[in-house]
Amino acid sequence: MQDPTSRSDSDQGRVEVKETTCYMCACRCGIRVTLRDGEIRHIEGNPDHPLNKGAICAKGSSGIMKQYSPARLTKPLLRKQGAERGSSEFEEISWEHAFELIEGRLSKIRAEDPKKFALFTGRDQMQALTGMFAKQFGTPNYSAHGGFCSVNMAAGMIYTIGGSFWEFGGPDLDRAKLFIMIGTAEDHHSNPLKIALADFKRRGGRFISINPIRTGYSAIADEWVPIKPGTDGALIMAITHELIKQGLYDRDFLIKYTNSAELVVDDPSRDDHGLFRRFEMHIEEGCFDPENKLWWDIDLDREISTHTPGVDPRLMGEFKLEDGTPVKPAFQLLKDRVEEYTPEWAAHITGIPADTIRRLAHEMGVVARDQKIELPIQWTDTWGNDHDSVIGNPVAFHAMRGLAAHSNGFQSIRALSILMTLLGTIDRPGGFRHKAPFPRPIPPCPKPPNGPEAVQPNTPLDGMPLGWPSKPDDLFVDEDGEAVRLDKAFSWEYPLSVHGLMHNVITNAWRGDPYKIDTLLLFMANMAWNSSMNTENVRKMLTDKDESGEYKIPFLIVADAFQSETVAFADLVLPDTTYLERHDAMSMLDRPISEFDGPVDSVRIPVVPPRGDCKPFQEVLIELGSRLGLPAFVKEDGSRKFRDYPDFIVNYETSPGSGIGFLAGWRGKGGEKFLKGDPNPRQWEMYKENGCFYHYELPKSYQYMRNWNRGYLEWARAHSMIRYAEPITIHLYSEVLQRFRLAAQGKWPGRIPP
Amino acid sequence: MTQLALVIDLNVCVGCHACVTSCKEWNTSGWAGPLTDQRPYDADPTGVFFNRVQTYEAGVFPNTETYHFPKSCLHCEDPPCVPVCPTGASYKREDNGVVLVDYDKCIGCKYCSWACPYGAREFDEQQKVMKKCTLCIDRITDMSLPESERKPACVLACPTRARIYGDIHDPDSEVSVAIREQGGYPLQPEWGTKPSNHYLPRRKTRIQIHEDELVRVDNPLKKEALPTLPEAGETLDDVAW
Amino acid sequence: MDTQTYPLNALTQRPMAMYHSWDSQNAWLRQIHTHNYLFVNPRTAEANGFGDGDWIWIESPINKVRCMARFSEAVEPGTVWTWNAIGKAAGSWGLSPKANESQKGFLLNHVISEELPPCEAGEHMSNSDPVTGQAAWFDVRVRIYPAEAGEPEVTSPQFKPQKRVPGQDPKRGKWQAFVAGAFRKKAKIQE
Repeated sequence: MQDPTSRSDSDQGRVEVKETTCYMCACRCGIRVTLRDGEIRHIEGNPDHPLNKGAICAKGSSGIMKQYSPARLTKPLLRKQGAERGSSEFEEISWEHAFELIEGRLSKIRAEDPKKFALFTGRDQMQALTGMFAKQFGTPNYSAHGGFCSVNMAAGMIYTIGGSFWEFGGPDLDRAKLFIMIGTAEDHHSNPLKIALADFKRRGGRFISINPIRTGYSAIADEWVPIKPGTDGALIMAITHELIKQGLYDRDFLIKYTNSAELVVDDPSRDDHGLFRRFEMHIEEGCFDPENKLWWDIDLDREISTHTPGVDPRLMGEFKLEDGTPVKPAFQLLKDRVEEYTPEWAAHITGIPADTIRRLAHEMGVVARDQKIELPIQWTDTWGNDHDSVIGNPVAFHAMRGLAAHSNGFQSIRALSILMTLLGTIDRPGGFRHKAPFPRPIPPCPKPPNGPEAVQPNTPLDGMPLGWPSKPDDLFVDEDGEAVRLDKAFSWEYPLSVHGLMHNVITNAWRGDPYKIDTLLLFMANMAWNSSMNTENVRKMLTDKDESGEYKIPFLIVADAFQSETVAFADLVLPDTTYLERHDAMSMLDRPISEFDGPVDSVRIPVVPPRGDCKPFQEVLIELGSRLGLPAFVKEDGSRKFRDYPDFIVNYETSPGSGIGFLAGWRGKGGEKFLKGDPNPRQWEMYKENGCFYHYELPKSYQYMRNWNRGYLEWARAHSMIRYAEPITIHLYSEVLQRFRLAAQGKWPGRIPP
Repeated sequence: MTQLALVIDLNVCVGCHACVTSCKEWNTSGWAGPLTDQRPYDADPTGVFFNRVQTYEAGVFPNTETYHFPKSCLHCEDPPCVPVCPTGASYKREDNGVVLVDYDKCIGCKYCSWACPYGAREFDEQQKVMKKCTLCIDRITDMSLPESERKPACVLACPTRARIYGDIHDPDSEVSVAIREQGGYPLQPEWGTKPSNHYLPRRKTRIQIHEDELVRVDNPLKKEALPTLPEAGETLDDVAW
Repeated sequence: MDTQTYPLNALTQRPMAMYHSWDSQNAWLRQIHTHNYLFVNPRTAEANGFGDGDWIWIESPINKVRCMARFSEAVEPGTVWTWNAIGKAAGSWGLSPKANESQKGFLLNHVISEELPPCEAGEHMSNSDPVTGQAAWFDVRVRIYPAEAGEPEVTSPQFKPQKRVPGQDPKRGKWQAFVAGAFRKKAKIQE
């Protein structure tokens, strides 16, 4: 053999090195792909990438075997005439034939009843495009996989602190001293969490894992606390009980930055029971918390407007307003609620000894209180107070599906968000930190449509298919209170289903409940296998026929790169490309890869040509949008607006001249702007020259306390990331949920359930 | 003499196998490749990997520890696989101490794998030659690469940076410092093979909170008008003199 | 829920090498996790009458799955668990119908219902969080018991092997030696 030291890989064949973004999982690490004679030689982490800093995981390193997998689909396929669905009998067809079939079918549906077309996608990273396609088509029946993944994590946290774990925020392990990981099934996040966790441990941080199982991350925990599944909420409530009992909460933080001290009407006989007492003032309509609420002033012993300078309010007690209204501070309601949730009570439920629960609470409370971090960073809050430093209480948490995938998940996660708030750790060093475009108002502004009239033939949907209800009137139900969506999202049954309920789509469509559909388009969603519950029966539903011999779900289109279990059930198969063969945008309009220090988005740029007749699903959507004449995809004369997906990404604006598009970096005619600016014809090239990502690092004074940081919020508004530069007060108490409770009791002035 | 080696930090290894496939990926198309797979899409797939991660449990619930243990050739200073080789295929480089196999000389007799007490050798069933970790010899000596990349693929890939690479004979190297300061240990030193690779042990961080630390003078409860103690009735102040 | 009949919680976790379920058919990754077991605390297994490596049934109120058990002290005794999405349907994902993924691997999803039993809230309520509609995968309760002697040593349910589709590569051979620059030609992979 040749002496290895005299050999250089760069001399072996024709070598090319290209950068793009990984897609072997959902992390979106930056990668460098080396090709030899046009074949993939190796894939390594991009050391300059902010997300993975050169690291790559087992899957990322195995991308070669994905590219050359024998499971690859390479041709559009049509179920053979006479072949039964599920038998995997297909004939190759041309793309033109496939497009004609879909166009014919969909244009008829769109002209008659657009909701008979349903588009559901798996863990796609183009939800801004797939969602927009559905809206433009006019169907409300769209969602991605969030409903069967971790929507509770997103909803529970966003409805409480205005941000959530993973894409929109996470634990600041660079500065934390105590880290509690509760209920992660070795899932989100992968490489960045590994990197941060290892550095945290090296620095001597203490890592506690609360999980029924000790594998992966939990293996390196300093302490493993086994817990019974689904009982995390009880544990968190008991810890909260102990923290309040010992006074181990950050009072100053709670008063200034949360609704803890705000006075809630406390009289079950009244229609406004459980709502904040608000005083009359002129308020601009908008999705922010107007500051027309009250505190109880300790010194004057009477009600006073919140955030009145110099006032110290009560967190506890019960009071009568001047007009006789009985009220309690929100914090008192929390205290009342957790009064009975002692560590002994939780020990029985969780299987964790009461002494351990108390010790966990003490560790959290004392570290947060006594190991404070003070960074010499000046900032100004939304009330105009200047601060000479940023304070951090260095206790960080991470949680994911272990909490989320239970029917009590939303409330468990709200409890966790409240615990993090009591410790004073929100968007502070060593605690939880937001990632742009979060924090957003609680709840964020977009709303789903709120009635069946939003769905009209040949018309885009009036509203977003997915949004953030803040009151019963935002539900997407008809006059009888019945769901408009096929998956019954935003109904009285599942009011805050902000990611939809993909797991019920096939069953509902099969049963015709609430109605029958015609065409179901699935992208990257393995609904005949691991993405469905009750899989064996779902497979039967996919092939079930009605009395007339027609399939109950009449037409099923599957777009995938591989011969998955679901492909067998398709009537039409659209072969997608791999991640190495396509353009993609990890957009600020969807779920970007932002860091704690500022917005980051990224792209994929093909490193190898597509195999066979594979076509990126985005190109399919652009083509269909153009053929169907969906307004966003055609000019006024009905002609095609975008050449292809890369052209669409560069030139699409959320509204004409808005300057907001899919990519935030290098906007403006010459690439001189970011976040907002005219389309830049060289935008792809500029991403390519910069490792396929755009990273804007915020000034230090904008990097913390962003819910209430005037500088940051005004900057975010100026760059159109947010509509209002108003404080995003933490909902320790959720008035949103109380509105639904009042409706259930018949006390809500608007919509009430049937 | 230089002795290149890996130091693997079991304190942070989460068992993610990044080192396993990044190694396979680099080496299968490199000097030591291919890393053949048998039945890659059929029952009982198997193949050549220069680096594997094993996971062990220790203790009984609830006092269970889970260990992830990456293992590859340890590049022993006194490698028992070398003298047993009848053809001289198995050798240790003098310039950097890396243990290698010359496939052209290997006759596939497997003596070396029987001699290796660590089970670190990998037989290629198709080519009938013995293969093993080369420390990515074709990367670490490739002067056309920038210095930051002249490292084994597993080291570059590892998300937890649990793999440190360097010269254990240089007392100032990162590996030597880690071994010295963090209790690095070789595997089974009693066999006298003097493994060059070392492992860093698990370390535990604990917090001890004394009862006195719980309540501080600025306890926020003091700000609240909590019910005060009821009137206690008569006290010694009233009756004693 | 009858927790007397179905006393155990059943969960899934990601294998550390396989964050997210895609691509577990990958030729290299499938050598790391080619099939899954149900991990059971030895005390729980003993109480249910089976040993390490035995074939067992996992049964929920809606369905049951046959699989192999693996003892683990790293799980609380009221919980059993397995790796998510390692099991595949026979013949799918370009794998042989005899591949371990389908013959020894299994999918826990079969025992998890997408709907609740009919109740006062409705006939067809989603098995979800009533606030957000989040699928309540981890609420499932099961019982476990040994398979009968003589039962086939293969996971259940099994499905008729899925056929390859036009445009897929021809079946790959017994050996694969990937070397960049020479692979596609050798493996007869079409461009």
